[in-house]
Amino acid sequence: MNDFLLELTVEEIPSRMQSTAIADFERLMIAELEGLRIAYEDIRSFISPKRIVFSAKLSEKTEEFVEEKKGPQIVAPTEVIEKFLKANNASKDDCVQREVDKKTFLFIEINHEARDVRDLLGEAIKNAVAKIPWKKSMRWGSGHFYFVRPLRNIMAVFDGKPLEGEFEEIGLKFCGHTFGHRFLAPQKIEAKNVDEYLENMRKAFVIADANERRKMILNEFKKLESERNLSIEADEKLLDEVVGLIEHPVVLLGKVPQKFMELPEEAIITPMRVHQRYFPTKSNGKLAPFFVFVADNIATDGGKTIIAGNERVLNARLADALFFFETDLQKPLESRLEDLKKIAFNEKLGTIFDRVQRVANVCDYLGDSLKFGNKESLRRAAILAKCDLSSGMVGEFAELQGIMGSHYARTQGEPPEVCAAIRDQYRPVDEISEKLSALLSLADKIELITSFFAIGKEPTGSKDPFALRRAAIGILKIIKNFNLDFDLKEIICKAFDQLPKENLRLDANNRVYAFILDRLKVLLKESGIRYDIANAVTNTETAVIARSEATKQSSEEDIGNQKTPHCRVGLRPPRNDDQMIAKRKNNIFIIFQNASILNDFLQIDAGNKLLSVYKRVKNILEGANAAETFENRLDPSLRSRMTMERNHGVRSPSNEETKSSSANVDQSLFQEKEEIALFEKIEELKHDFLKTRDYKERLLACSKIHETASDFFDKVLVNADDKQIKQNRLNLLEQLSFIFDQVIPNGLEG
Amino acid sequence: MKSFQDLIFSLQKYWGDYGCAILQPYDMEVGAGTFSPNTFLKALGKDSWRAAYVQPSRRPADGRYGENPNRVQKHHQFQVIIKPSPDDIQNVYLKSLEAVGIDYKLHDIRFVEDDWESPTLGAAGLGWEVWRDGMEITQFTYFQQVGGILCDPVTVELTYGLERLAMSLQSVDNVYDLNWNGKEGDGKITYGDVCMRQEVEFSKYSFELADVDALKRHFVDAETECAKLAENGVALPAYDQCIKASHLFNLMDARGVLSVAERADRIARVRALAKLCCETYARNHE
Repeated sequence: MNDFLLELTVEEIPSRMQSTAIADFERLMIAELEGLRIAYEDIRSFISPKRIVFSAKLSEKTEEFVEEKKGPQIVAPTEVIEKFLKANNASKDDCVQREVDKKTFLFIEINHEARDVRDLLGEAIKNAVAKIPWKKSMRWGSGHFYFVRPLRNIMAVFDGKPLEGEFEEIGLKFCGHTFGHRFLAPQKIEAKNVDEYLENMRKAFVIADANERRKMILNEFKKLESERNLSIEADEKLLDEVVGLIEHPVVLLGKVPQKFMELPEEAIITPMRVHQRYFPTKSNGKLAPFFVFVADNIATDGGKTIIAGNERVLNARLADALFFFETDLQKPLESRLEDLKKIAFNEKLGTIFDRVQRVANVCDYLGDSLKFGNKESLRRAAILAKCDLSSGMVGEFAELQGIMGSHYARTQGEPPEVCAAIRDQYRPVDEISEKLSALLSLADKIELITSFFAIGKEPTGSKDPFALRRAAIGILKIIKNFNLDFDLKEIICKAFDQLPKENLRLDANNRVYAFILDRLKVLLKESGIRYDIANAVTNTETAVIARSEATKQSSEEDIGNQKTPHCRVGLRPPRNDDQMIAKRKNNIFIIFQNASILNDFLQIDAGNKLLSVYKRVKNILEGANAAETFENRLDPSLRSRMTMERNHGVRSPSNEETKSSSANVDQSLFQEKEEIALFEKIEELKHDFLKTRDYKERLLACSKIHETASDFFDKVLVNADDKQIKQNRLNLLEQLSFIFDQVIPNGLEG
Repeated sequence: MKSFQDLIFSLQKYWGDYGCAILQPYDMEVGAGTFSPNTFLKALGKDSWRAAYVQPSRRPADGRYGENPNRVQKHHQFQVIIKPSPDDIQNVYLKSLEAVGIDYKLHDIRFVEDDWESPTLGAAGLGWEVWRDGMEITQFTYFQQVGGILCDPVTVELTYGLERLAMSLQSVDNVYDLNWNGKEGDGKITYGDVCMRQEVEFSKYSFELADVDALKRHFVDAETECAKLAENGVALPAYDQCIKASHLFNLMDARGVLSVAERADRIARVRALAKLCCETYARNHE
């Protein structure tokens, strides 16, 4: 095996693209080598801001092999055979005949001789370089080649000697050298293999390996930490970025003048991290007046000038911040509400001020619905939430929205829970720990999705400019994390009702709710719920499982003009529960809970038994329905009912049905003791359902019917000759089926 | 120590020696050196081009009544424009820093990703901001597209922020303290002596006094005129009107009278003018 070393010198590659680029390039080079049948081992690749390095040990020659080409059948027309021979530059004597599936075909065997790898590498390099998928790429000079930044040198050495040849599209000849660090060792550097390369480059102040640079930085951090008794906030993302900005790390420490330390910590950290790529430091858990940064030069004065320069830049930014901070504090946060009238939110949705009012109202609705104890503070937080948008600080450092508002609120004596909520509104929902904060964030997100849906700005495909998908997931997580037990759709409708009335999509409510359920489906699957359960429980708003505890006889129209499913007489819960039950509609919390209960239940024996009875009952009823339908040449009402069941996993209500399922079982028609047993068991089950609304208990109760039902299936022929008896048996099963529908959503797999 | 004017002299000398034509600033209110037709229109077409010039650049919204040590409504850019971009341009650029007195043994120079996009000009390029000890001193851009037209060959644009560069060379924290003419004592002229009054009065103008209705009228006039001139095939006079429209937009923006939608609408209108001028210019050039 022979050493192969390749280094592409590029003008500074953006840091954020480096790690994917090197992985892509390694993959592409390997694909080229394999395509050419070049044996390889010991692949290594590295990336720095200015270099893409690939090395391997390669065979001297490609693998020799015989390629077998299948031609036409020997009985094929002469022209076809001629064509095949011509295409392969062969005569009939070169061919062999072979049988495939009892037919005889012509075959040509082409011998590929081993070729010199040296002659092939140039093409391989060009192909791989051209195929690197950059997020953004560019042309330069008079050329038309696209690359992330101009490619300036290609060092390619095989078996100790540089490759001949040229990358014509770029006008670069392959060569045997590169250059060292831009300022510390700009001279030519040569190497015969990767180890020599890494060593020579190290001497030329270039650390080609990103991991090595990272380790050097972390080692220096450790030293500084113990020398100065500080802890350096080395977050991974920033560290990754910095590693991609330097070829030779030099860690330096700068000071922050004491006068700036009175700023809120975030106002100091943000310019450090985001604008300057500095690492903040802490001592005793508090922000310390020092920052750490990584330079890419060993200065002759030990870095004094570099430190002074960086301190000056940071000081200018902090001086700006301090000025804004002090000016902002002079104005009461609440008085900034007026400013919000001047900031447009959306042409059709008004100003930020308008939105603030709407979010505050949604907070009220939520507060009422959840019987939240501190409604006053919740509304207060909503009103103040966006006030900091007009502050100088947020104008200068947009990342500080919420954080500054919270600081200003605190200094002006607002209650702690209000300040926390103003801060938390922009946080990832999983980091929110206060209930009031969670409710504000929830109200904000409900208002956001509803209003954009109302003006027809729903996400489509990969386009989601207002991040509504993320908002929907936020809503779900908040409901789950805080066990928020309420009718989501009702709140959506109230949020919708307060929008300016012109040109709204009137079906927005249903669409928003369906959109959120769709996210819920994904979320459930991710949390380990069986995919068929996740699908079934989120199928539509009326999915049975959400209704399990919400059965209610009512003629009222549901919001959005959808009929609420009615309950059958036999299962109607007592009246005084109605209010509580109403709340259980469209209740995400219940879906979460029930999906998880059902998921667990179907993993135990009782669950499996229940499901098998359920399936058998359904199959028999479906079979009977189908036969009947066929006989009746499709009675329209029946057909629509069946379609509905199939599509939505829900039974549509109709009086007729109610009768047939609960009233029409005639005990005098029972023939077998198993029938009577099943009837009694069903009555018992109905009774159980009246006793408890606990989902798990209801499931358990249902599963207990397994034995009786099995006996029934074994001994009783449903499809009796006597039509009356047959119908009576079907009605009995129809009753059981109806009970099952209260606890098992349609669409589960066995 | 290098005075503000010495800094300009050194850059002019360096780039003049390199082979650039040293031009005078374009005689209109522009938002950046890029707006000058000597950059913007010259980036189009096949002809090679090398030029360097100082461009006073107006950004009304950045006015601070002379009270902010780091921000001014009119700053000075030193603009270098070369087509096609030379292979060793990074090194040529770094030598220009040496020429203004930056010693590499003492400083940390970095190229940090910064892709440039001008929504009003329909122009885009890839490149970096160049940092010296953490301060951005130059924008370094390979033009890819101008007025919606692909740049071929590619022009490289170097834009030095003269105030920042001078502040860092003179180690001063307040722009108004910059030594402009290099003399000390009675003969010393500072940046404040030259520019303070402009900053105060123009801030007052942009934020308080500019007549909004007149600005809107002028905008429409410039727009109409631009289209008419372009139709008559004179790209350069048409482009002057586009520059005017752009500055009028900046003034309205500073006055804070544009709603989000109106703002977007005017940006799109200026972009349409810029595109029209580029197309006219390129057509005449063929």
